[in-house]
Amino acid sequence: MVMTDSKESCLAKNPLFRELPKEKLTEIAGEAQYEVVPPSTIIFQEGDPGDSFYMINFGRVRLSKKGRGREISVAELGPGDFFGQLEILTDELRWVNVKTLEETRLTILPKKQFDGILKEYPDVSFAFAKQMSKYFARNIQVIKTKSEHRFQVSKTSWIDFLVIFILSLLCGIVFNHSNPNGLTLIPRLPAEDTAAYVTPSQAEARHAEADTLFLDARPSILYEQMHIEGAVNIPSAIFDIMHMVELGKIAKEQTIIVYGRTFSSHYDEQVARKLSLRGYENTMILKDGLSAWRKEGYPVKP
Amino acid sequence: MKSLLLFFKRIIMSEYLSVVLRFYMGTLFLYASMTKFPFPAEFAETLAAYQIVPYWALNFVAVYLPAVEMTCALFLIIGLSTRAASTIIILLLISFSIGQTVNLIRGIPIDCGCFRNAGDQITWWNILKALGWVLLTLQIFFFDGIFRLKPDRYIPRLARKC
Repeated sequence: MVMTDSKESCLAKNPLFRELPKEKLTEIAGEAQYEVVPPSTIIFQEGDPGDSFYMINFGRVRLSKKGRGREISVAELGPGDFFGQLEILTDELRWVNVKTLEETRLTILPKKQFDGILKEYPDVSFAFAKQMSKYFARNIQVIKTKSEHRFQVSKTSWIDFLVIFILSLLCGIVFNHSNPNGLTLIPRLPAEDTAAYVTPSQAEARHAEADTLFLDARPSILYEQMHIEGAVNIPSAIFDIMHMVELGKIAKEQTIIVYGRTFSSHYDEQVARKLSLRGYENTMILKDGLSAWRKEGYPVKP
Repeated sequence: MKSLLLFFKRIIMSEYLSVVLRFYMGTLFLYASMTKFPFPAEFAETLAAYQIVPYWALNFVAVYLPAVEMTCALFLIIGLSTRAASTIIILLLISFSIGQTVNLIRGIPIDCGCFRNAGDQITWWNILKALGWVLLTLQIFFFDGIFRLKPDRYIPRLARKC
C-alpha cells in the first residue's frame, strides 16, 4: 500500500530519484519534509514565493490559473508527478494555483536543499533536466494545438453556408406565405385556350393589311429601344391603368397580336390573359416574339 | 513614409475595423432586404428587367434573394459565421455588378433594384459603389476575429474538428 510506504520508497518512485542508490535515497529522505494535505486545500497560490519543490506520493492536485475572471485548469497531477520546479530555478513568484483534489501525501524539498541535491547528485540533475525538457515539449505541443485551433475557428465550413441558405429559404417561404403581397413561387402557365399563337409570317400578313392591333407587352424602356412598327406599348405591370387609357377605345372584336417575351418574363402571356379576361376574344400571341420578327427582316422602329 | 504605410497596413488589418464594417455592411444589407422583402412582385419585375434569371425561377429568386440578404446581414451584425456571410455578400455584389454592366453595355436603362423597387436607374457610379462594398466586405472576410459568436461554442452540433 502506498499509504504505508517508507519515505525512501516514496522517493524511489519519483523519476528524479529512481537511479540513486539506496543509501543516498535514505540521506535525502531524511532531510525532506512530508505532509498529508486534506482534499480541496490550497498548497500555494499565484504570487506566493517559490521556495519549495513538491513531489506527489499519493493523491491528486490540480494546477490552475486565473484568467479573464475565471479559473482555467492547467493540469492535473498524480502520484510520481512533481510541481513547483520552475520557480525554484528562476527565483520567481508562483505562476499557478495548486489545490488538492483528494487527500494528498507530498514530499517537500525546500529550495536550499533541492539546490544542494542538484549540485551533489549529477544523476538527479540529469533526470531533472530530462523531465524539464519533457515539460517544455508538452507545452510547445499545447501552444501548437491552440494556434491550430484558432486557425480552424476562422476557417469557413460548408455547414455555415448551408445554415445561411436553409434559414433564408425557411424565412423567405414562411414570410411570403403570410405576406398579403406574396407571390406564387412557381409561375402558373396560362391555360391552353388563353390565346392562339401566330407565326411571324402570319403576323406580317396581318401587319400589311393594317387591320390588326400590335401590342407590345414589355416595359416601356424595352419598347423605346425597339418595337414592331405601329405597335402600341401596354406594359404588363401597368396593364390596368393603360387599359383604361388606351384600350377602352378599342372594340372587343378587334384582332390583337401581343408580343414581348424575354428570358426572364412572359409579358405576352400575362397581357394576353388579361385581355382575354376583359372580353377581347381575338387575341393572339406572336410566336418567339420580336426576335423572330426581326430575324425575318420585318419592319421595326426605331 | 514607411511608418505611414505601416500605420495604414495596421488599420486595414485591424479586427476593430472589421467590427465597424460588419455593422455598416450588415445595416446596409438589412435595409436593402427590407425594401424588397414586403413587395416581392415589384422586385420580380425589376429582376425580370435584368434578364439574368430564367422565367421559371423568377418568383422564387424574388422571394429568396431578399431573405438571403437579410440572413447574411443579421449574421454579420451578431457575428455568426461572418466568413460565410461575407462570402455570400461578395458574390451577390459581384453578380449584381455584372448584371448592371451587361445592361449598361446593352444600353438598356433598367431600374437598379438596389434599395427601392422603382425609380433608381443603373449607372456606372452604382457599379463603382458595389465594388467599393466588395472591398469593405473582403476586409471582414480576412480580418474579422472579435465580438463574434463562435458556432463551435454556441451551437454544439456545428462543432468543428480542432
